[in-house]
Amino acid sequence: MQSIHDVGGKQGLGTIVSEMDEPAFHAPWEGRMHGIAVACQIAGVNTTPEQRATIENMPHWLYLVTSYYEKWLYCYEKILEAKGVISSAEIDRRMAEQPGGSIPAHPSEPSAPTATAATMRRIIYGGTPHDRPLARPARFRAGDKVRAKIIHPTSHTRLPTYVMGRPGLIDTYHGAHCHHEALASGKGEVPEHLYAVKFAAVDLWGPDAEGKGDFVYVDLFENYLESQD
Amino acid sequence: MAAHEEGPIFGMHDHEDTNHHHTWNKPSTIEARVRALESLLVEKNITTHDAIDTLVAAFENDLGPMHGAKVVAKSWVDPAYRARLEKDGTAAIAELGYRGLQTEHVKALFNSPTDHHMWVCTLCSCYPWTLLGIPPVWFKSPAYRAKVVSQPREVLKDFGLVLDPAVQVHVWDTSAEQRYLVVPERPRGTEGLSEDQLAKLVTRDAMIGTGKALSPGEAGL
Repeated sequence: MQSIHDVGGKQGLGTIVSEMDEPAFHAPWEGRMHGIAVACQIAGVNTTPEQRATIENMPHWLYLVTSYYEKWLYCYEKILEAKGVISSAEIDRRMAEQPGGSIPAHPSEPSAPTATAATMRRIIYGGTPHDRPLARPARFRAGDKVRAKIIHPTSHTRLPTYVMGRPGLIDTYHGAHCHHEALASGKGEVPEHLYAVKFAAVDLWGPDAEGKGDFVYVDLFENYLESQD
Repeated sequence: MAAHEEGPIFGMHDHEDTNHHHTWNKPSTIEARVRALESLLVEKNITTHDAIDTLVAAFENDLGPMHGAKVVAKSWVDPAYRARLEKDGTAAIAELGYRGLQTEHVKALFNSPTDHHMWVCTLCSCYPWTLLGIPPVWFKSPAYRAKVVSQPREVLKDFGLVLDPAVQVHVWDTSAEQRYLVVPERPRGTEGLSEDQLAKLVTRDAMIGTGKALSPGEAGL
């Protein structure tokens, strides 16, 4: 969907503020929230694209005034409620009943981990590759002239608005990866060829392009592309 | 105000309590709410407290830009490694023992006197977590994500870097699960440094492309 998250090329979103010696997490709850998200995915509650799609559905005004991990909390409340795992009312009740206190900062890695913690460690350090075999050959090869399609779906997409309809060149073939749209809609793993597509800045921004010889590359699934001719 | 904090939460009072799906609790309650959520997830056997501890400890104590810096330093001193990194970034990075979540597919981009690469995720905040750590708040901000694809040179100025107009800028938008690592140029005057010393010159921002590698003096060497 073309929502507030799709910000490439937008203006008026404020200044870029860099923080010196920034910690991984600015408060203990941020680290817990990151862990909760990964844990839910390991448990099969949801996929990363479902997480992204849920955040994209935030009201625009709310998206702009919530921090990164606050968006994650919003997102997991929505996902867990929609899937019937935990309702927001249950969280309200638990908040009212739980003893006071705060989340301990800087936990140590468990010395005698549970099987769930051991799985968490294995996933963090091993990863979950996204490439899959695909018998259908790739339609494009490096140097091919393509154009990003113009689409306007109400569901999750990874085709940013700022390249829609614009001509580009296939720069890199990344292999076939699980399509985010299928993962976001609960259809499972559907491999699709993935390319880095090279767009000239002047084809994206016209005469206002900042550097006339500059380029932007966007990773796009094959079904987002058509031949230029 | 610290960089991670949000500004005044305009509109909150207007929207509160009118439609549950469009409301959000105030930041002061977030810690208690996350604590409540975690306890419920543990009770329902979705996860364990020590699994969450494991993730937090990994990102606070072990995973960070020093891993990517070692990849860059090795590519500076070992031409054969650099060639492997260029051909298959993921495999070359794994040679040093680095792989994991959000680092499953990595392409290295090599900066030179004529070409400057940098990367962004305009649609969310994709980042090679286990190679560079948790992304900084500015990387996740709409301000950076919006501006860098149309005004990369202005963004570089925001970071104190002025590029020669003749240098070509290449901005990579990581809109799928492919991740990127910029290999900055090796600074002058570093011929006598060891690989470990060279890694100290490689900043997180240099590997995103919003900075250059430090000089030995800047790194205190």
